[in-house]
Amino acid sequence: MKVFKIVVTGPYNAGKTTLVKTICSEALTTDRRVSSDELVKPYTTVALDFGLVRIGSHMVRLFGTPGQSRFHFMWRTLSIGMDGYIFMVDSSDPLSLDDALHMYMFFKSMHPNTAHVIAANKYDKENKLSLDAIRHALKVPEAVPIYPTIAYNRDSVVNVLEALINLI
Amino acid sequence: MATAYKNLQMLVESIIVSSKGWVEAVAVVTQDGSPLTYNAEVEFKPDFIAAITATICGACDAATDILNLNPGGYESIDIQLGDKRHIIINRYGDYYVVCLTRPNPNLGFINLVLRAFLSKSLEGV
Repeated sequence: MKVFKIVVTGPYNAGKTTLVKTICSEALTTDRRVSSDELVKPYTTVALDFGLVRIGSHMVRLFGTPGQSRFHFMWRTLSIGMDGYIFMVDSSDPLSLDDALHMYMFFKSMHPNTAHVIAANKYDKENKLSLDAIRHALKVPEAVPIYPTIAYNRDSVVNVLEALINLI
Repeated sequence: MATAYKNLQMLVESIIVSSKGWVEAVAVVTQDGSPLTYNAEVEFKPDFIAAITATICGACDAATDILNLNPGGYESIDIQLGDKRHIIINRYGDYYVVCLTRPNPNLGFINLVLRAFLSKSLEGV
């Protein structure tokens, strides 16, 4: 059985923790209460999310990163030795794409040859951006696939993970 | 690689035996958060412990960097838990050795044991 280390990353409130919790029967999370007055959500990841999941005949070790840029040192730590990564964005929040672009460039420059896919999360929302708009905003190369994703839907998440594993 | 793995297994067993019961679990984990080997007398989830260990060490590396301390500015990390157990993490070549102690452990003795085993490099490691 081959074991893959896959990192789930992306900006704040993209849905990374939800993805890990959806697909892993047992998941470790490091959510802490948000102290800012501008409350987008009550909790945020401060160290990592972690879970194990079997995909076909493979075992996947999923590492979720914090999304906030002040935790950028964890992005580097958690991506050591990864086989591939899922870059997740909130497709219903155009304002988050600036942060997403910055973070995506960080990962691409740190790991230029690492297989990855883009997960356009919250694609069940009416005000979602098109996949082309997300590709343009993040300057995603044509060779990198973008998948509409619903992080709380197991089938949707499995689909993205399978696609990434096939790229590795 | 097989030799290295066997040596790491022996290392882990030796630490457990030599600690005379003060250390209840030992694991050797990689810097990318994967468990290589472990020995535990208590419930222990090696995959989760490995991921957490790599994260803690990564955060400490970042702290030493940002404080402009020496490169590789820490040798070990000692976390005292609420029930007075300790999680002790030591660097060991490219790996981390993480130990879980009994409550109120004899830390001097445990550190002597760890120093004795971790100061020498193992063949193939």
